Amino acid sequence: MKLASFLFFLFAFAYAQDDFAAFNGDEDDVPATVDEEAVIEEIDDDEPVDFNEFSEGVDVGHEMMDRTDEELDPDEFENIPTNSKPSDDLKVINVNEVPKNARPVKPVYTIEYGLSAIIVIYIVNYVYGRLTNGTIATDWFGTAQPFLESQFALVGDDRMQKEPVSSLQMTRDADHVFSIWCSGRMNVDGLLATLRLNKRQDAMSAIYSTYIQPTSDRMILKFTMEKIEPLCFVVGKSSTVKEVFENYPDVGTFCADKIRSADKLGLSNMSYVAETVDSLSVFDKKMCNLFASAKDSLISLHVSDSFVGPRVPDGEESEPISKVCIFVFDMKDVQQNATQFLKLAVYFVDQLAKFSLGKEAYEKHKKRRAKQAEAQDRIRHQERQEELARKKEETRREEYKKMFEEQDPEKQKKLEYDLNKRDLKRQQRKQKPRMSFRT
Amino acid sequence: MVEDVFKWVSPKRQQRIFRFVAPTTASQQAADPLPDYLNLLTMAFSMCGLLMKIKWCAWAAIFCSMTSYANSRSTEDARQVLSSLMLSISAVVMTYLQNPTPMSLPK
Repeated sequence: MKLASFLFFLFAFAYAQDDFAAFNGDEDDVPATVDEEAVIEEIDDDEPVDFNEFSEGVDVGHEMMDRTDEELDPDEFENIPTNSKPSDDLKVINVNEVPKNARPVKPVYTIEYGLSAIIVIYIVNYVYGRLTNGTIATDWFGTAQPFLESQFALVGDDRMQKEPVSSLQMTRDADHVFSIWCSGRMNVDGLLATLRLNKRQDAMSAIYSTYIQPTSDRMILKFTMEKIEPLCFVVGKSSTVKEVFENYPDVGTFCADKIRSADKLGLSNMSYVAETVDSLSVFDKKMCNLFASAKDSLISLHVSDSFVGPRVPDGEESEPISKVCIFVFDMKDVQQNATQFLKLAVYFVDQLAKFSLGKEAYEKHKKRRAKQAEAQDRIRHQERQEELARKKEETRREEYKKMFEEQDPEKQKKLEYDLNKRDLKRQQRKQKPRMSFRT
Repeated sequence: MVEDVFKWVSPKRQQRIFRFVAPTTASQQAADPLPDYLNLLTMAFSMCGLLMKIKWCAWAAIFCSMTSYANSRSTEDARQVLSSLMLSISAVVMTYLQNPTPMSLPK
């Protein structure tokens, strides 16, 4: 059958060649007539070509090469009126006769000019705002410098230097944030004085802070204490106390939920949250009088022995635990802030270092911290266990995958046997009763 | 005289000097996240302006980049802020090169 089909294919192929027999055209050949008078030029390929003979004649693109109307065959063109001449249709247009709304208009970039003007104004405001903020910071430091130098051995830390040398200069953290680090004092590891001014260099923020949500310049004094009693409290304006309570984990953990009025401390229109009422015993009569004189400018006072900074998103690391006392003042008067309030803060810090809680309050606070530490340890232990379990599960999955992918059936059986043996042992371990030593 | 000396003891302690440790980036960002959001907006507007040839997007990118620069912290890399500014300027230039007609208000 196969041979027959092959022979049939061969026959058909041979027959098909004859389809083109009509083109085997010896019949189409026209006999060449030789003209005896014709001059046949013989070209020698090796002879060098003289290009000068090609310079005679007309260049490509010359108008003589354009075909005239007489040479064009009208049958080759469609839809062209035969009797009309192009010169009759053309009409010279006078610009003055064209109506105004039809004339071409020069583009006017009105919006672009407006936006560029806004950019220029923004840049001018940036320069002016930056200079203003710099001046405020310079004035503050100029007034505060003598007092800081009398209290601290190091005023301004130049991190580029290996040895701690007073730089006597504020650091520009941003165009509206200036800070200085002071260290080398009794009771205090260091003071980070930060001036957080209004964003005068940013026009949008300046408009927002002036008309929509008025804010003022602030002075933040963060004292890192050498040692304080285990206590945590916040005193200040109600809105600020609430904000601190929500944003700082240490206050949220240790302080009571209720925000109370600070009238009994001599601070009317102010509130506090504290671990216990005993924490506020640091406010004796003299202290209350001093704070009463500053209550218009005091925004908040945050004291904590377990400060970890503001709440950070999950996965991020918070600051290490430290003992701090943070003052936030409103900078309505730069001179007053640099002298009176700075001295008040240093005095309070010295009193806080000497302050000791009553025995009961101390025990209560210590117990609370121990519970908190235990809870943290439990969470960490649980996380570690979960991590271990996850790793074990992954290893097991990989082993099973390896077993399924094994090509050799004997090796596969052996792997399956090993895995089953391991699983059985694990199950037996779980079911085995634990030894009890109770009698 | 002795009493005067004991009345005021200098609180300075040369041996208790501690070097400054800068706060973490996470806490800084938590305090003021505005520059990071504006940087992101600048990138988004610049891409829209360049790829979709939308003029107002390119101009918005310039404003966002300038505001981000004004609000930026000194600890941030200045190159990143400047490169986003350059990107926004290039978005405006490219948009007008491709289509020189002036912007018009929506009707």
